[in-house]
Amino acid sequence: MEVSLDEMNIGQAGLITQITGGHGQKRHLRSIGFREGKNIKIITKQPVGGPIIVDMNGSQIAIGRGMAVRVLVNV
Amino acid sequence: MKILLMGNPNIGKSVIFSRLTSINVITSNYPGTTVDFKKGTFKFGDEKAEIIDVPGAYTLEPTSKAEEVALDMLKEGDVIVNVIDSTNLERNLFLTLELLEQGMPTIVVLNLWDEAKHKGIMIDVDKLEKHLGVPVIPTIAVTGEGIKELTSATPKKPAHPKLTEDERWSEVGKIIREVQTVTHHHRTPLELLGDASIKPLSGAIIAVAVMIAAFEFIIIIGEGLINFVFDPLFNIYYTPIIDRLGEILGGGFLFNILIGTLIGGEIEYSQSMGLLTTGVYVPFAMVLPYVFSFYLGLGLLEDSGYLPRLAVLVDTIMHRIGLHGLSIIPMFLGLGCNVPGALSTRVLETKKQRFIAATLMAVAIPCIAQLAMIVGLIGDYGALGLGVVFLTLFLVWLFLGIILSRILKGESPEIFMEIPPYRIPSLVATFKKLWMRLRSFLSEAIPFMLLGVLIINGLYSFGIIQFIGEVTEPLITGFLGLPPEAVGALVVGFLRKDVAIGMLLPLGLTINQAIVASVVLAMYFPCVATFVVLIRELGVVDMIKSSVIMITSAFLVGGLLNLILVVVL
Repeated sequence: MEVSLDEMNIGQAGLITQITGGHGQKRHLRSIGFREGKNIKIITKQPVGGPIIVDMNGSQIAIGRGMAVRVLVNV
Repeated sequence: MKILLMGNPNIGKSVIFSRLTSINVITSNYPGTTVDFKKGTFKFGDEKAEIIDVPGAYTLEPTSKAEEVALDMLKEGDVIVNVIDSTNLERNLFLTLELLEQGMPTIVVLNLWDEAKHKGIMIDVDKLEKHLGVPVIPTIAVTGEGIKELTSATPKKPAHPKLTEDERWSEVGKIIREVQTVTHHHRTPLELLGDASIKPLSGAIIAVAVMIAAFEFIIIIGEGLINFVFDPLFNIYYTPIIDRLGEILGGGFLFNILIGTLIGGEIEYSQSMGLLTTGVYVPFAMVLPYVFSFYLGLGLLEDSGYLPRLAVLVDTIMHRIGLHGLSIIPMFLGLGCNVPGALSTRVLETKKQRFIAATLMAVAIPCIAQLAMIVGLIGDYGALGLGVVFLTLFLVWLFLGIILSRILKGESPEIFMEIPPYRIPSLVATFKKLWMRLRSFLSEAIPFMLLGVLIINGLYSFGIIQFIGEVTEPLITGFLGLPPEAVGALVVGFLRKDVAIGMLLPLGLTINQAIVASVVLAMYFPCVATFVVLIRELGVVDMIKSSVIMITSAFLVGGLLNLILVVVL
């Protein structure tokens, strides 16, 4: 099932299938590691719309919800 | 020959820079410590080379001001030393390919080699070298391993075709599959602690504990240094000399300048306002101890990697004021000194964010030198007074932020950052950094303080302070409820805030007046050093806007506080 990153639950893992958005936004996301075909795991989500912390290849990244919507994940 | 040290943020470029040049630069464990370039020289092969420590960047298409600086530097260099985080080869290689496409002679450095090993990551250096077509050298910058090999390596001009972004990523993928093997490793206690300190509930508990501990640490060490080191030193060694000098001078102009006014027939270090009494006592015995304890505490927080985690936890609050979590870095640095605080706003992505962060920091974050003096001024009345000052400044920070984020045009992007792993701070590195910061306090702040004391004496002797006092009496006395002499502090506050608060000590202020004066002094204008840096960072027009905000809010808040305190206390 394909969901956006911000819909994933804490502890859930999946494979990134698509990055959406404009060229600059995509590039920004990819430059720090969000790319199609990468494994991703939710470490935690901060409450009241706070950032999501994900694990990719053993490194942790904090990402805001607005950007997380643009990362689609197959879980 | 000009060599550029380039790479992703927080991978140890600055550590390599100081290894190569023996020039000490501030290094920390969070992305964006280096926001400006630093130059140095070292012997590269047989040649003397200039090396430039470039701020970190993920790509050559900049998303922040620090990354813009990096891109600008690229035009100036002859050789690139591209530093890579071995624990995160995949992401780092994207920039590497971009750099190789520039066609400049390059060396690739695989730093954090030891951490990669601990994480079960093995990289085939020979194969990587073949793929990239340039020398690849594994290093552990913090211990100096591999640095020798780096200085004797010969940079090679790569022949890489220009790729599109997608092609570049697929090239990265291909390289990774061939050169890297990852074996499973058990999670270390530090990694477990890393997760705990970023989860909402356990994270909040840890954050409160860390902040209380940091606060206690700074107070206990600062007070301890004053009571057991600096005060005894002054009393035993310095007082006899000054007493003797006073006797020799006997009185007159020079006596007034050097020794100042006697309080009850004796020299009172904090109040006499002489160049050799207050001018020496304030910086060394009142401010330096707290500068020391603050920067020791901050250094440990920076090097451990805790700050980015705190940034994530406070991100939601920071959004309310148009910023994001990473803006706690300028705020924390500003608590030490507003100058580095102002510089570090460069880690923020948009002009709007940089304006808000810089203005809020300049208005509501007193530097440690000023804080030390506020403690000296109000501390005797008990913790309540200090609490009122801090609470007022916090509310100003919050509400001004909310207002600014609403009325200013522009975007406020969300937090998007890598959280570095926890690292046990190396005491050598932490103390080296502490020493650099103390040295810059001693060499940059103390001359200004002495100048401040000198100027006050001059202004008083010529009756200028008294004159300004009369002119501004309705505002100062009527509105803020301060004695007319307090205007002298406001004049000197442009130069140094700590000296300005020092000037309030002999005035015998009531607690209300001391609170109002401390708040107004903290808010109304940055000191001259911060002002100059802010003009450079924000531009003249925005700095004028920012200054108007500061002055207006300072007097509004001061007047309001005066009214409230009269009613409540």
